[in-house]
This record gives sequence, structure tokens and C-alpha cells, in this order.
Amino acid sequence: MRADWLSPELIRRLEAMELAVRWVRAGTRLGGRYSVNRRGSSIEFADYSPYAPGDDIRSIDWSLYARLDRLFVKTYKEEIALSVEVLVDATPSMGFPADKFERAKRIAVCLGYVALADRHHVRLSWVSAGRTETSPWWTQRSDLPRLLQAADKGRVGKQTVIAEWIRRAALTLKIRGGQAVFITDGMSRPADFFRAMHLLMVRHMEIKVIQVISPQELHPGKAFQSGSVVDAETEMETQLAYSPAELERAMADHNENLARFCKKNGITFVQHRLDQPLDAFVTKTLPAHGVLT
Amino acid sequence: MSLLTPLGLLGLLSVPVLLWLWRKQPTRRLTRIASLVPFEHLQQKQPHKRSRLKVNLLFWLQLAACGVLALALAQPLVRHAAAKTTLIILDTSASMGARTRGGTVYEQGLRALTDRLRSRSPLEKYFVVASAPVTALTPQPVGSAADVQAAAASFRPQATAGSLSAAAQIGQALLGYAPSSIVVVSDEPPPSEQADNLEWIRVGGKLPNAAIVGLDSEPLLCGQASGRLVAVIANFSEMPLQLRVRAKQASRVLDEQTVDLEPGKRSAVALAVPPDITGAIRVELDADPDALDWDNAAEADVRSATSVPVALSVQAEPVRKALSGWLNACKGLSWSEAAPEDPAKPFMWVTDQVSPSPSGIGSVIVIAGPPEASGQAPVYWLVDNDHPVGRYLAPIEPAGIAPAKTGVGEEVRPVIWAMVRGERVPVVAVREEEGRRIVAFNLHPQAAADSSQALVVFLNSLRWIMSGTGHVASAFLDPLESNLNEPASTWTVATGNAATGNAATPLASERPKLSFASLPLLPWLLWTAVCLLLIEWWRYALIKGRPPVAPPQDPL
Repeated sequence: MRADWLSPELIRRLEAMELAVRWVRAGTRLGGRYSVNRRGSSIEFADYSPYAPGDDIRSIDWSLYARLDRLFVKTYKEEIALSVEVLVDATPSMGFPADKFERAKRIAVCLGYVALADRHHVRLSWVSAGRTETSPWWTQRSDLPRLLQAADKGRVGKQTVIAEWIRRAALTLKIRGGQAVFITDGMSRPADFFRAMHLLMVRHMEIKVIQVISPQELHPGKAFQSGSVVDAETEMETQLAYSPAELERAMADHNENLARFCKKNGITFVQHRLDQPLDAFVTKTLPAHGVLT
Repeated sequence: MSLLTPLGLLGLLSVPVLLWLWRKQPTRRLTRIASLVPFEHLQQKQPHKRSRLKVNLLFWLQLAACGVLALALAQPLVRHAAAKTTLIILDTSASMGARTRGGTVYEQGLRALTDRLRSRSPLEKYFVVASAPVTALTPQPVGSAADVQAAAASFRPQATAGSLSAAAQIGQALLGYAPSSIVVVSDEPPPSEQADNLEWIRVGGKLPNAAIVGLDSEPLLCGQASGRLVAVIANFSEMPLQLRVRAKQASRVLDEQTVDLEPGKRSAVALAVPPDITGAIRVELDADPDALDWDNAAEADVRSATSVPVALSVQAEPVRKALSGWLNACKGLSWSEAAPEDPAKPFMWVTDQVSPSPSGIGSVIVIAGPPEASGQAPVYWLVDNDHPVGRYLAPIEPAGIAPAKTGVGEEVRPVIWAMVRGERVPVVAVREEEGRRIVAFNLHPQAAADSSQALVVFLNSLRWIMSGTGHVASAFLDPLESNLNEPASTWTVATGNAATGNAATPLASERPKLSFASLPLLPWLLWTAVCLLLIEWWRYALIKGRPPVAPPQDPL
């Protein structure tokens, strides 16, 4: 395991930070510090909730039905912990340039550390083709070495459709409630990205997207003035017979499209350029954008 | 501008090749990127039709280098009319070898020429010609002052006379066109009317000099003594000089005389030559001070002379009487009025018969006809001094003797003419046939009161006919070269365009032709191409080594 994931200075600064949490709608982990009203049975009654198909009919308050002629179910308070799903894009585009994936893993480690320090439940997953790679839930600070070990093992995999991966993971990993931090370069089709975000949203996830991107990708007009390009995702060679301004505008449109979608749907979207220092990004940029506090 | 190898312009075909490479180069560049997704909608559109080539500064530099190299292959020459060709005439006659305190006069001239070249125009070219003998010191016009100086320094004055005008004419003929200007470096005085394009650099000055200006080496015709050499010596200094003249054969001094000579005077010094002496005899002159050495020595080649008896056969009594008196004046000459007893021995006829004598080595034919009706009217003789019969007479001699009525016959070479009513009438003519020499006189010996010119010509004729048996030759420096105080000018107005053969055209009226000089551009073009390629390489290295995007500042 590498020892340089977190410097003492960075740890000291991370210790003073917390994950920004807007809401906790659901969770499967009990014993946390977030209180939610849930259907079912518990010790402490919380409230009534309109009946919805699928609710356990045993929880219907029949006396209230007799008075109001409407069906309500009882809800009870539960103390749950925040589940933090750290999803790192491991598709081939994250491997170009090489330090992009490395930077993504470092951000994931930083966020994981903050979450573990807050006693949240943290799980790290790699979004790539094949089997859904994910870690077990880590719940306490002593799980940090395992988090680092998992980060160490993370590799860029094969191309996949993110929405498909999320759909599959939501089922297999039972993703529901909590926070999802998606660290990606955004080099996926917008529709695919939007669909993936929708899948997380319907799972009541508070989503935070961190886009890690290189300056060359941000300004393709300067880097690819002419000639053919090879897509790192598909290994497909294509000739870009367009002006630098067109390329620049295309990239700007793409990123703006993602950001606009996130903003419209209450998703925190933060862009991190590889030429920015990581420490400053974690300790200043992320709190400024409401990812950390 | 003209091109030496126009085919070199085919190098411009490299321009289309360059264009093709620049069109092809973008397709050869392969860049790996993370994803094409952001550009997918661009790919769905039709890419812009490339109406023009996408180029940068590198392309223009390469294009310029190709063009310059193609032009260099064609070897262009720029012809410009501004080039001047100057004909430099270096006087290399003997007088330029005179010694001065600062070396020879010629070396003074070289220094003056060097000073003149310092102020030369960069486009000026020089063609250097020596005057004695006329020699082109540079094979073609040269533009470097160092070349001119080297050529001039490689030559030295010669012990001979020279003509600056002849050098100018020959120089122009060698040049092929009239030069823009002529620079003459000489010790001769500049012409009084100097043309605008003539620059005269006079060197030297008044220098003391004594010289042998004449040497007559012949056996005495009219004396009984042995032969002698008559050396004419002159003092060209501004002070009286004591001159010592000696005749030597090898190391043997044959005779020696000492003469005191006033400034500007000349004197004939007779040096006795023993009868048994034949061959080369050197006459030397000692003087102090003396600036020029070449004129202090002369040589004569003396051969043994044969005493030839003269047979006088003249019918006309006055003529016979006059000729008898002339012959009697020569004590060393044996003559008679009858033919020699032994016809086998050589003898010479003096007769008034037109038909040649049947025997003898030669004849002096005196046509003693009555003189022309002009009588004592002034008559001028025109004398050909190149022939021995015309010696000792001025080229134009006022004479009181008119030609006789009868001509001298055909196939003769006139030596002396008389101007009669504007026409040249032969007076004395010579002829050589079958080893015999004949001199025909067309005059009456006593036609005038002063018959000295006729007597000189008669004695010259006898001497010339007898010289067939005893040849005498002499050599000495042209006296014109010895007069350093008042040098004679050899620059005449006859410096015309030798190329056209119009030698009589005066220089002052010669309008220089527009001369063109060819300036090869090849070195300049090659340097330009090298500079362009270096700049292109530097620019290329700069682009390759530059980071694509400058790191931005931290937004926070």
C-alpha cells in the first residue's frame, strides 16, 4: 500500500471538515446519527403517512380510517447512518492522461476519509465494464487502511455504459438513500450520464459529481489542431477536420451541458483540473461548492 | 536580371511538393485523446470544406526557403549600369625606373595609385595596362584594389620607350568598350587639354641625368684612319657635369674620353676602334649625379668593312665634276673614272646611266636632268629616316634642290620626296635586287647653291651600298626617355575607340558607352536560404518545446 495517499497536513485539514448533507431520506444502516421517519414498526411513533400501494396493510391505522375515511399508515422514527457511495469512473477515458485516474482516486480517498471521520458508512466502487467492483461498507475510522488498500488496487477497466452500470449496481448493491459522489471525467454521452443520474436520484441519493479533467481536454483547439485522433475509450481513429474554435466550442458545450443538467436537478457539480493542486481543491474548492463543509 | 542556368527554376517544383506535404501532414499526425464523445455532434456535421491551406509561420519560412533555393539554382545575375570600368595605364617606360630618394619613380607611381584606389567606388572595376611594352596586367577588369596593386607591383619598368596613347588604344581594344575613365600614372606631363574622364597622376620630377643619346658605329668613309664609334652624349641635368665615356669590348677598354658638358647640352664623342676589332662593343657613360642607369650604356656590333673602289662613269660634265669633288673629299675612298682592271673584285658604280651596271656591288645613279622650272623656289624634302640613305636629315628638310624632270623608274622604294605644288615627287629611291643595291638620284648635284643635303644623301648612299659587306649595328636607349627634366609627352589625341578602329577620334570627344556589370546573386541567395532554414528550425524547436497550455492560477 502506498503511504503517500494522505499527507499529515492534508489529514489535519480534512479532520476539520465534514460532508455537506442536505437530506437523508433513507438508509439501511441503523445506529447512525440521522433520524428519519420510516414505515414499519419501531419503538417511537413519529407520524402518519398517506397509504401508498405496497405499504404493509398491517400498519394501516384503521381507527383513523373510520374517522377520516382515508387510509394512513403509521411511521416510526429510526436513527440511521449516512451511506456514502463513492463511485469512481474507471472507464478507459480516465486513463488518459495517466494522472487523471490517479487524481480521481486521491479525491475519493480524501472524501472517504472525511466520511469515515464523520462516522458515515462509506463504500468505494469502480465504474467499469464487467463485474461490479465495490468494496464492503466501511463504518469507522479504523477502516481507513482498507479504504487506502482499495484505492491502491483500483485500475482503469474497460469501457462501459455508466447508466447501465448504475442500474445494475443499484440492484446488486442495493443503492438507496444516502450520498453518491461520482468522480468522473464526464467523457460519456450526455444521455448516458443523465440516465445514470436519474437512476441515482430515484434511489433517493444526494448526488455530487466531481469532474476531473485535464487542461488539454478542456482546450482541444490548442492540442488537436489537425490530424487524426484516437479515442482512448474505443480505440477508434477519427480525423478531426474542424477548426480549433469548433473543437473548443464543442468541449465547452459538452461540459456546460453536464453542469446545466446537474444544476437543474439539484446535483452538485464541481470541475477539477489536473493542473490544480489537490490540497487546494479539497480544502477550498469542494467546500465552496457545497461538497464539504 | 539574367539567369545563368534557367533550368534551375525547375526547383520551384518543390513548392507544390511542399504544399502537398503540408496538406498531407495533418492527416499523418495522430493524437490520442480521452474520448471523442464531446465531438460526436461535430462529426455528424459535414466538416468544413478546406478552401485554403492551414498554414503557419513555418510554412511561409519553408516556402521562402524553397523559392530562394530555386532561384539560387538558376544563378541569377543582376546587371546594373552603375558599374564603372577604369582603364589604368601604368607608364613602365625606362624613365619610370629613374631613382629618387624614395625609391624609383615607378614605386612613387604605385603609392600614388594606392592612394587613388582608397577613394574608389565599390562598383568600380579596373583594367590595368602597362605602356612599355604594352601589356595587360590584369586579364580582365578586377574590382579589388588589392588585385590592382598586386598586378601593378608584379611589373617593373623596362629599358625601353613606350607610348601612353598606344597603351590606351590597346587597353580599350582589349577591354572591348570605352572605359568610364582613364587613369594614367606617368612621369610625363599631362596634356594641356585634358578630357573629363582622364585622370592624370604625375609622379617623378626634375632629376639629374646624363645619357648616351646616339651611337654611330661605322667605318670611316672619308678617312684613312681605322673605324670609330661616335657616341652622342647629353646632359639633361640642371648643372654642369663631367662625363666619362669609354668603349669596351669585354674587359678591354678600347678608348676613353672625358667631356665637360653644360646643362641641357649634348656633344659627340669619338671613340677610336682599332681596325682589328669586330663584334660587340659596349659604350659606357659615367656621371654623378645620374638618376637613370639604362641610358648610360649602348652597344654596337661592328663587323669588318671592305674597302670597295668606286668607278665613276658620268657623261654629263657638270655632274661628273661635282661628283668628283665629293669623292675627292673622302680621303679614305679610292675611286677612278674607269672600271677596275679586275672585274671579279667588288666595286661600286656611280653613274648617270639609267640602266644598271653590268657588274659591281651596287650603283648610285644620278639622274642629272635639268632642274624643275621652279628654280630656286623653296622646296621641302620629306625624308624617310628609317632608311640609312635618309640618315642625318630632318623628316622635313628645307632644301633648295628640286627634283629633275625624269622619274626614277618603277619598283623602287622612295626615301626622299620633294613637295612640288602640293604633290610628293620622289627624289631619292632605293632598290635591292639579286644582292645588289641601287640608289637612284632624281636631282642635279649642283642645282642649288647649298648642296649639302644632296652631299649627305650621296655619302649615305655610298655607305649603305658598302654596308652590304661590312654591317654595323648599334643599340641605345631612346633619348626621349633620358630627359627626366623635360619629359616628352607620348599622349596624343589619337586615343580613340580602338574597338571600332577609329583611332583618330580624340579622347575628349569620346562619350563612354554605358557599361554593364554583372553581379552574381548566388552567394546572397544561399545565405538567405540558410538564414531562413535556421529561423524555421528555431521556430520549430520553439513550438515543439512549448507546453500546450499555460497552467492557470488557482481560482480560489
